[in-house]
Amino acid sequence: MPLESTIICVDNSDFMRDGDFIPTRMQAQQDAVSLIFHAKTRSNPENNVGLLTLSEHNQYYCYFSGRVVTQLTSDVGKVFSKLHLLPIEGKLDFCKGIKVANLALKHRQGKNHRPRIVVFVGSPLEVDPNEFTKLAKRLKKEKVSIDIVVFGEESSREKFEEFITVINGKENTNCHLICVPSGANLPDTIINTPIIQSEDGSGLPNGYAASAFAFGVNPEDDPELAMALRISMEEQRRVQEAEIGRGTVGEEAQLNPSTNIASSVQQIDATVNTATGNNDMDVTQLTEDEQIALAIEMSMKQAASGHTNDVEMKEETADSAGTLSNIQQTSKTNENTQQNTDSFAVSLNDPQFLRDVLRDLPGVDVDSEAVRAALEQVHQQQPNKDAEDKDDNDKSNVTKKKKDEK
Amino acid sequence: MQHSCSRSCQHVDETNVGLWNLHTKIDKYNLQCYNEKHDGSGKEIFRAWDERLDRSKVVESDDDPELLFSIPFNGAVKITGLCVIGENGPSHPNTVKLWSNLPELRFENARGKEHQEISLTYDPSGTLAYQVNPAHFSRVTHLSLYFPSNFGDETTRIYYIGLRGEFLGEVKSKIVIATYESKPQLKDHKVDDFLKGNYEIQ
Repeated sequence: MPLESTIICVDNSDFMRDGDFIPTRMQAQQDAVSLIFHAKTRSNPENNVGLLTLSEHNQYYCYFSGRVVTQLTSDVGKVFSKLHLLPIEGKLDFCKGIKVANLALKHRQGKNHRPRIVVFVGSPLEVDPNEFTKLAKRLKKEKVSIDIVVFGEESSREKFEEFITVINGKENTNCHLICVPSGANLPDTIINTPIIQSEDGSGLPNGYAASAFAFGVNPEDDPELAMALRISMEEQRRVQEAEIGRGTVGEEAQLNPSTNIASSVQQIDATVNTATGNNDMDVTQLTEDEQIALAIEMSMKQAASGHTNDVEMKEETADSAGTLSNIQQTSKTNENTQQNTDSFAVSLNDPQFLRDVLRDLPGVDVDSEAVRAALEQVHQQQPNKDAEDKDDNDKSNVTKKKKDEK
Repeated sequence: MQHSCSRSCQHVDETNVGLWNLHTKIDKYNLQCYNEKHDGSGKEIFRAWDERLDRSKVVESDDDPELLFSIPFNGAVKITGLCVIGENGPSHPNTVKLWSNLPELRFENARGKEHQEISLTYDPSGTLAYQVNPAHFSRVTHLSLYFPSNFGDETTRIYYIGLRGEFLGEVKSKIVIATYESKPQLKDHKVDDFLKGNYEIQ
């Protein structure tokens, strides 16, 4: 685990107000930055991380970009306190920002640390190509590695690919370019990339979704709390996605290159609920997996049609109008925060929940026969007062089946 | 370097082997070569005197003829001589600039005043040893070698760099003088720049 000093360059231009990343691009970036910070300090406690903004707008229409927000440090508090106060302003100035990052790295305290720059770019790139290439060569000469995360922007992809090729040279693979399309989950996407995962696998373990760290809760210290937080975060996300799915019904079912099956099933839920007459047509358009998931949903609905405690049911939100669903959403979140254990038991009955939660656990293949069979078992049983006992049975069944298949 | 036996003898000249062994005191893990074409090739040219003629290990510069070596040692050394083996052609470096104890030196500050500058000439077999001034190099913990140019080629190639000198001993980390006080009084310590920098204890 080499010693590394990393400067994270955050794009805080006006393009970060865009909501195509939930909730805004800026917040997604903040989550991603915290994820990277934890990964770096976890892999070696002596690593240092600093923070820098790439754009700044001064009132006299001069752009003073590349402001170092936090010097290289291993103290999480210093970085996080500034991270959440970053203003959104101005236009991106990539070259200037990188030069300032390079300078900050030159004056690092850990002289033996390998310097690294991680850049987030979410706005269009305007740069002189000569200067761009010269910058790449200079970084290469000084052995500064760079990782570029381009999110929400496709226009500058080729330029960055060229930049990375120049810096990497013929045989090096130290520098990476990650492109994240709009609508994806930024922290979860980068968790699987070489930015977090170093070669010996010492990055974050696979089971931990980015959202767990976004709460500052280490899953090792308090797994139950982390689990509860993750489940309620999942709920929120699904509710939001269902609302979005209601807005763009037909398109979502077909073009979802990077979202997982669970979220596309959410949109199918919405389709099923709002356009019951068009069921046949929608069903044939779905892939086989989605059809199976749809079948699960439908059988689940029949089983729990009269169940009043089941607050996660999508029918409730879909049936009501927009404002009413908002009220229900807030009441749901209130209920969630108050009755964690209750919603645990109930939510474990919900197949999508089980599916989502199982997906995050290591060693479980959600689409495998055993897991799918277990999930179907869940719906066939009535969700009533015995729900908790049956949940235990189900869980033990699921784990038994997992062990069998292993 | 010539020994006194007749030309057809077999024995190896032992006199130099012992002297050119400062390479054993180099902190190889933290040794860096800047602008090398192949990552890690810069470490391999610091080796034993016996292996100086091995042509398989070479460092080549990338795109321009500059090369910069940043060499930390496992202690303090005194450097008295330098030997550089290159090609018998234009890729041989023609100048070397040396600095001692400046670990942050990079290409920008290498344009400035050097501690010593030596003009090199073709040496494909390691027969030349250049004298290093004792002025700056009598107690060195970090050595920087900068080769700014060569005899005309686009890239510079070096096969071997030898350092001659003595090892002076390990360097303990810097806390040495400690005063123990039962009750610290600020007036006992005259400090001009109070809380000047931001130093973290790690």
